[in-house]
Amino acid sequence: MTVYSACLPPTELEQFLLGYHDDEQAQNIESHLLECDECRQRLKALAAEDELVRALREPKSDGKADRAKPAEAPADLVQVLVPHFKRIARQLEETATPSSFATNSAVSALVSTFTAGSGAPSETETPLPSMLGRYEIRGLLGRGGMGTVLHGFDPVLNRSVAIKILQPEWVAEDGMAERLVKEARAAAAVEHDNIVSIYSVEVRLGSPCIVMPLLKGMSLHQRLAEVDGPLPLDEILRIARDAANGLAAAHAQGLIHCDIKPANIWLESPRDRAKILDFGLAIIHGDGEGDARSISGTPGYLAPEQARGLPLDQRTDIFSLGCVLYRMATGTAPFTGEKRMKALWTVLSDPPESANELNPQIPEALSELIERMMSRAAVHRPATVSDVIEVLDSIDRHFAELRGGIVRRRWLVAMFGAAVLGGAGVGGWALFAAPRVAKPVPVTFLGDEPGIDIIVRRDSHEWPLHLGPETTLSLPPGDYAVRPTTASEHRTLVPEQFVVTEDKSQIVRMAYVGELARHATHTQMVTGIAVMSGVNPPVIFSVGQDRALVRWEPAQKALPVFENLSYAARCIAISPDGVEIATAGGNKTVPRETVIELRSANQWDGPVRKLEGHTRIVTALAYSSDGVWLASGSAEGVLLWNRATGESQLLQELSPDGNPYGVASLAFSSDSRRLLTGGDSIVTLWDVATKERKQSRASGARAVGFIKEKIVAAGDDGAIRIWSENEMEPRAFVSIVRPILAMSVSTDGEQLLTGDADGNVRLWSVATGEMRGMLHGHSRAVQSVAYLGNGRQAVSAAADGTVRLWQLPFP
Amino acid sequence: MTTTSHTLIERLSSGADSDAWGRFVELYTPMLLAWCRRIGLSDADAADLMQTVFVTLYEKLSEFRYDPARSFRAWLKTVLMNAWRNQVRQRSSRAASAGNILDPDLIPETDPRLQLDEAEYRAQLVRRALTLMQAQFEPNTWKACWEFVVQDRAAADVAAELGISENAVYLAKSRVLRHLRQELRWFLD
Repeated sequence: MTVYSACLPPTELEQFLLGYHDDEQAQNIESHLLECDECRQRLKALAAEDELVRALREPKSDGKADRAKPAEAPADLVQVLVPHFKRIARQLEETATPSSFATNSAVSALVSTFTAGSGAPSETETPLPSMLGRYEIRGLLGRGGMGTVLHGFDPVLNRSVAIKILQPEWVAEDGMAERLVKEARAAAAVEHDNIVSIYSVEVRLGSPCIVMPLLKGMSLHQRLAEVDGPLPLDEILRIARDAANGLAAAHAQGLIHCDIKPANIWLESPRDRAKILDFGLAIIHGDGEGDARSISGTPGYLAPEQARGLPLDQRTDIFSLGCVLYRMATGTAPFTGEKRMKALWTVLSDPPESANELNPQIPEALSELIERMMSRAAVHRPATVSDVIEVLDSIDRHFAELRGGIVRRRWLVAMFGAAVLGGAGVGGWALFAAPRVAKPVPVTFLGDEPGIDIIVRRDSHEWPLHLGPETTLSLPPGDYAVRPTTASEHRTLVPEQFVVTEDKSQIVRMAYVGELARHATHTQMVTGIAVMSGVNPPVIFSVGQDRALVRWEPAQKALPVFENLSYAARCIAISPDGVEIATAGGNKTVPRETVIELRSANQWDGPVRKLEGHTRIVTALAYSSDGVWLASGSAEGVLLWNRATGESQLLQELSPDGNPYGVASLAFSSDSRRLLTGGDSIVTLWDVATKERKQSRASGARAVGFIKEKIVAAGDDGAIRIWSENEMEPRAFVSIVRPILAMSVSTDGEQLLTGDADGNVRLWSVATGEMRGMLHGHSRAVQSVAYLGNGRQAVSAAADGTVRLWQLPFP
Repeated sequence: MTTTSHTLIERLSSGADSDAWGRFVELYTPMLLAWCRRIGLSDADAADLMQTVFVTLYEKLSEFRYDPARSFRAWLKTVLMNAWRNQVRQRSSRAASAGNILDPDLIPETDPRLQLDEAEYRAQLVRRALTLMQAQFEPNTWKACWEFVVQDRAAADVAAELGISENAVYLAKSRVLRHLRQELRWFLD
């Protein structure tokens, strides 16, 4: 280790500037530079240029460089491809160790544990919760690639259930949680004997949980492992037809499964019926390009278009089902090999040997069907599952005729056997009997948005309902699902399901959560919003880097109106009486225009007052709730303006290196006696009357606020911290990892809204720290959020240039 | 900030770091795509070929031992060319419409479209890496380096604009370049 007490030679300094040193050396040099003015000065004289720097530098137009244009890779295509290629790693690992994915998959583990009775769970690394929502957790059924399956008990309906919880790392992937919930919901809408039904979908701590019936039997995957070779022809045909019937029902609803494989086909006992399981990866066909392009599925059963990330349709499932038939008919999967990469891309190359070459027992017609189903080009496959069923039926009829006599005799034996064993079977059945029918219960629906039509559904019964302030339906006890009559892609009904319990009238509060309206008047990043208080319908002001001030009344059909400013605006605030708006910002080049402008909120053509004091870009503004003060923040600190006199005082806190801490956010306490400032690295509490600093705390604080007496701050580390003036340790919420750039506290202090760098607006319960909801829409970082009036709506502004108005769920 | 010697190649070859592959894919996708488009592939064929290339790279990199004598760039080009030849062969054997697609067997190795020209390769790689690294730094540090090094502006101007000292601009350059150099070791050669 080199300790630099003496000055550094220029070559050493140059190497330092170019980043050649290891971390430790570099830190030593940095500390030397901190003390040595001479070396600091010397840095400025160094060119410090090498290959790396030249490569980084923007090419000066020297006429030669057209081939080097990176524009040849369109960003949108890169965006589609990157997640696909990222997944290659996981897919290859999974093919390499099939036991971790296929054999141990949640579903097959579910069976083995269940059929083994009260078998102890094999893995116990995380303790199981005792309750999940209303379900009592009775044990672990299995863990697999996608998540964990728990054995639950529903005390309300007195039945056992299987609860599938998605693994946190899957949910971490962008939009995975929402995608899953959406899909499970779509699957719940399909009811068919050959599809495993879904009771409900819930979200716990951000993880979607799917509640399903606890099934007896085994998966086809297990059945195949048991046989270790081809299955008998009549079993192949029966399973194929059941699976095809299930798929046909799903396809009829526009739903594709996308992950048909033996582990996802359940052979239910004692009725010997095959059911398709796990529509967890299904996508709704036609629901936007983004979905259709996303890649899912299991290597080895993956259609070529899936492996290539191309648009999918029902023929994708036909391909995978063909692979399953091939596996049943021959005992080997069509696309596997010793080399692990093969499973992924043999799909892209040669077709496998035909099924009846490997197993002469397989009729030619079936072999041909399988081959057609597995055609690389979708156009060569049967167009619909019904076409597949038709062929299967004709094969079946043909063989039934051939074996006519035998079949009839088997029937006799079967009937006789059933009569004898009838008594013994009853006990087994009772376990899985449906809940008993009970008498209807009044259910009252409350909603605060007039004129929304919804459909309440249980099993195959539907009740249409016009949501008003109060509507009552009489419903039998059970699990219900709710959906809007006309679906909107921007909005979701919350809740989407509810439970009616016997002899207990109840109230369901329904909100149609999501985006109500938006405007894209700004042409660049929107930096701030302010909501006029006490007026309904709402009036929303926004400013942006496009130097525009915009006034928007979402209730009006008219377009937002805008005013041009002379600076790129960074912040806006409105006085508590709603009379005056303050805007500020500044330009990076001269004229800097770092003044604060005050104008009438209702009459923009009136005079504009200016507050001059800042020399650096103004980044935050706030009025005190008593209307006496206006605070403004910049890299220099805070100026606290007396609005009556126009005088200001500078509040500054210096960092150890002598520079003031910059201020990115400001908030006054509700009694106007405290001012909170937040910046990159510190939160400071000031006494407004004495202008004294009361408290500082190191914390990322892009956004600060008061929750009654308490202080709340959030910033780049994605954590929300809450503490009171005399408390040492802040209470931190679950971190969302992504930087939080904006925050708003509801008037009752019970909820928080945050806006993050990914463009999500999230809703939090202050009491529990739980996330209560997430609003999607912004494509870039959210810069500002604000609650409206009674806290049932909110508005957000983002770097994507839009301002959006949201309907929130009930607290 | 975490420190030292987590070069991407080490993270990839250790196989233990699942983020490393993601970073590698982010880093190379635009460049490979650009290459595919230069040789006239459709988007679907480009995706197909890139998939093959990434599968190969994943297989090889996870068992890779760092050898400063071998050039990654040269190796990458070999992998690309092989994958392309295979793709074209498969296509012609299935007698698909040939169209006006380039033939890798007829085109000379020296054709400019095939080259991963050193300067261009390096420029694309380092800029992409710098962009991807943004989140790892304090916003001002990254911005200072970007303005000072990439945009080639005067340190004093950058300092004034970002509200930091001139010294901080130099430190930003040093820190960011150090991380860039560390992460990209071997890939730059």
